[in-house]
Amino acid sequence: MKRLAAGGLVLKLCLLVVAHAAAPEPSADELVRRLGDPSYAVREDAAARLGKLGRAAVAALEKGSKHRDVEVRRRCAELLPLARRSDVEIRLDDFAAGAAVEPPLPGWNRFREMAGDDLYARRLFVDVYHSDRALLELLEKDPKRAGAAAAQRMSRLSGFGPAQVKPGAVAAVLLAAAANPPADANAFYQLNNICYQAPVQGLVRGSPAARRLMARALAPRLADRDLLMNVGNLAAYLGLNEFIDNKVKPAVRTQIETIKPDDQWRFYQVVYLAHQLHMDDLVETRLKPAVRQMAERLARHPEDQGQLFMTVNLVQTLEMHDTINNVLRPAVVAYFKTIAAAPADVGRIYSARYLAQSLELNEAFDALVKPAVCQLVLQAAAHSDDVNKFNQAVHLAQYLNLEGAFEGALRPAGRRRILADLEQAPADAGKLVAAAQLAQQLRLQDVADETLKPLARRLAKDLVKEPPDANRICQVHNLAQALALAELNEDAVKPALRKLLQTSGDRLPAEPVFAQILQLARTLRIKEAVPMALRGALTKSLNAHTRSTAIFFVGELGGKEDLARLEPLLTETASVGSCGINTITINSELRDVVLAALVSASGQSLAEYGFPYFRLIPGIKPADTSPSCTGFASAADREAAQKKWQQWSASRKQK
Amino acid sequence: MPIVILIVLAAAAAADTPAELVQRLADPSFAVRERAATALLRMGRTAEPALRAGLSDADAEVRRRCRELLDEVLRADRAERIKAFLDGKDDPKSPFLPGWPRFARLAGSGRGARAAYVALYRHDAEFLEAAEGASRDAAGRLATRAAAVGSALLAAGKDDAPLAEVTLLLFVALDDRMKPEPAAIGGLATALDVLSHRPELRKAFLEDEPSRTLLMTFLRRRVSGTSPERGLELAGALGLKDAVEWAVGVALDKAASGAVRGRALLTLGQVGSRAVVPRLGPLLEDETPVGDRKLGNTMLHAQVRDVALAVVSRLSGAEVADFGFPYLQAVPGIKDPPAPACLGFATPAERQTAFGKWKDRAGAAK
Repeated sequence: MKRLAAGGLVLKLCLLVVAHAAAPEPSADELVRRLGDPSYAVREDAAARLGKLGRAAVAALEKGSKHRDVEVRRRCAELLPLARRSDVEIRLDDFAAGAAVEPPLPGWNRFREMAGDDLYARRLFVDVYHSDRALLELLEKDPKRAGAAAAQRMSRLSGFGPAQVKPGAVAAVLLAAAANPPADANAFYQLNNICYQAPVQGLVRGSPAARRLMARALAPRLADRDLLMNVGNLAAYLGLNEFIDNKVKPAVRTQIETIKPDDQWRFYQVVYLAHQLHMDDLVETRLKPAVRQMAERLARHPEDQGQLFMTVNLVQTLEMHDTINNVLRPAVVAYFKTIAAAPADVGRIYSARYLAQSLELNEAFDALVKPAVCQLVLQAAAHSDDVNKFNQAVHLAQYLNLEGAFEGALRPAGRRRILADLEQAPADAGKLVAAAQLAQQLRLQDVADETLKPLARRLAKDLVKEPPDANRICQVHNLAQALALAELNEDAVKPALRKLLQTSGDRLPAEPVFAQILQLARTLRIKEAVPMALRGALTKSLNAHTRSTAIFFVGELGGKEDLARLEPLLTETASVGSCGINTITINSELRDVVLAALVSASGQSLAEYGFPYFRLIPGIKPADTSPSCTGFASAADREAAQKKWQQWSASRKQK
Repeated sequence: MPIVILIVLAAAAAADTPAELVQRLADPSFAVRERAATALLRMGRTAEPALRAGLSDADAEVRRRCRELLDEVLRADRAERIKAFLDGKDDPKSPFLPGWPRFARLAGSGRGARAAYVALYRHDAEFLEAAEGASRDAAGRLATRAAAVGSALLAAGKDDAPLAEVTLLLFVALDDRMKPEPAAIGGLATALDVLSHRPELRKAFLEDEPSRTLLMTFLRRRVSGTSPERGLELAGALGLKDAVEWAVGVALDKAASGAVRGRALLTLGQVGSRAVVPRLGPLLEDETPVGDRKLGNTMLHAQVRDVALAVVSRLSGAEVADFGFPYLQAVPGIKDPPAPACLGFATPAERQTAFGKWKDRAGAAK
């Protein structure tokens, strides 16, 4: 019975196929209707036919996407993007799926030579095609220039945050680098820095074709003895296993054979790399005995700090416990003794702390080095007017957690210094600020409460009575901050600053004072300073940097009308300065600063306007950075940003 | 029967000399060797010469056992002698406790002093013996250790402070047979300064009476020997109440310089009490100059009476700043001015006002 039923089903299907073969090609609407057929085979057949129809099926599919049958709606929604594809897209999809495409896509033949011809290579190629077709065309017509384009593309890539980097842009960089591998260390480092970005690692680890391109870009630099470690590290980071086995490991072996005995740094690098690449035979038979000898040599001259660090790192990396216990620990204790004998070299004390922690020699460190540090502290405390030495002693005591040194020497010395300073000039606000900072640094709470706060209040009282003076106002503000006396800002600083602004009328103070006033007014959110800031922004004789500060101030605290008065400055090309971030150089002009202030005040994102600094450090306010960072890496980027602002501005006016 | 044999054997063993017993330490029988060792241990110091001779015996086991037994015998002997010493029994012939007679003269000979001395002996017997033997390098060793003890006090926590080292160095530095180098006195003075700023350590140190007594003697004899002001300053900073009489004596001593008398008064302000006030009364009229101090653009001129006024008013419970001392007006909140000259006045009128206030206060109190 079952057999009969099965035979019946086969017969039915055969009939269906015959019927379809004989019948004319169904319309797109008919095929959409069949997407809801009870037979799965019929539904599948309809979907395949609709797929082949291409754009001729769009209208029917759009209608079908509102069909009452859920499956029809779903299948139509899936088929619509396919149907809407352009010819080029259809060609690219076919190409990515492995089909031969005639004529070949531009650059494909050259690409294939470097990255292979599997599906990974094709997908990578399509990514580049979408992202950087110009590069592929260049690869076809002028391969040398395509290679030279690598630097430009890398620079552009480093101007984006990880979330903004697209796979196609990464693939384009890899392609350009493979076409023309870095010729020197600088070019290599540029590529190296890019490759440690997460999106690059993600792409290379996930695509054998990308790994082939990367291996091709890196291979020539293996011959550069100074770069071997960097190349090896990068290869390990990117998971270029085949490249490591076939190229890097042999290069490591060659390097070991040719290293000169006194070339310690290169030896260090190559040992480290051999360990990282799991070259266990080499490590056990050649490198560990050599490192042991290195440690024994060190034990005879433990004062050589550079050698000590190198050896400790190697011995720990190779987990040579016997050498650690029997050679290195005694050597490091001997090193501690050299420090105890001459503790003035502070750098050695910091390095000794690191060694003590990494080799578990804290007891020896406490017994030998800490008393020597305390000797330094005592000397610094006896000559606390030598500010550098005193601060150095404070940092050391903090670093080594020597509370006894603070209690027994540094705080008493700080107290003496504060008294001596105040004695010299009891009403000098500058000295009082310095004293407050010192009291804060040394946690001299009693001095702050009983001596400095009463003096600060006295100064604040005088501030309100006297004619306003920007310098004194700032000093009292600094005092209020250092002594946590917020009421001084309310009772004295703000009224004095407002009085200063009122009395200055239309005059601009001298440039440094003007900048000082703006900074303070920004901190205290004094809007009354906006007119003065606006005057400064519009005064061409002022330094562009000072004008930028004024522009930011207006941008932050000004109203709509104030901002409108900044707009004419969008044409000012005076240079504000430049700054480097990642591998790009930002050049900032006054018009860029104005644009940033306006964009920020309008609530829009500076990153979306293409300001590289704000793309890399999202969320930061323009006034919190240097104006020299508020610029662009290229004229084209600047032009695009200006255009975007004009469009936005025009659209706002229409509304 | 076995009991009789045992008694006979014991009697034979008792008759053995230490030298014979040392020889038996090489006996083939383990039991015999063990018995010989026990017998030598029981003999105590009597066995010392034989054990020392055994240190160079041809047999390795004899050498090892002799070394161990000698250590044990000496340790037990020392413990016995220390116990006897603490119980007040002095043994003039004993090589032990070499500096005790001098220590007793400086810090007393009661049980507390004996315990303190034993603590020093346990801390570093070798250095104590070298110093008492007036060995040639003792003064140099004192200077080296004095230079290191200040930083050791800084590095130390509450429980590992080298207070015994401080006491030992004070004791050694007070040996008149040795001429302590100025660096040794300076190093110890620095250490005492550190101690004065570490309240917990200072308290623990001053609670030990012999240490306090040595400290007081050191400040008077050694530090003040070169700088009387420094000695008095340290006494004040350490809160050494034992220094009151010394400071009163110096303050009243018209032969001393005004600066030293002023410093003595400041020390009294730190360690004195209301009881001292009547004795300082005459100083309220003493016009001896103490020194000058620049305060901003003003020059303060201090006299003994100015410092005395500040100290007397402080010890009487008055607010010193209320008397109009210019330094305390300019730098409020200061309890202990850095120098006596800080308590001077810029003009006679200011001084007159201050003394007028004091007289009004005294009159009101009467």
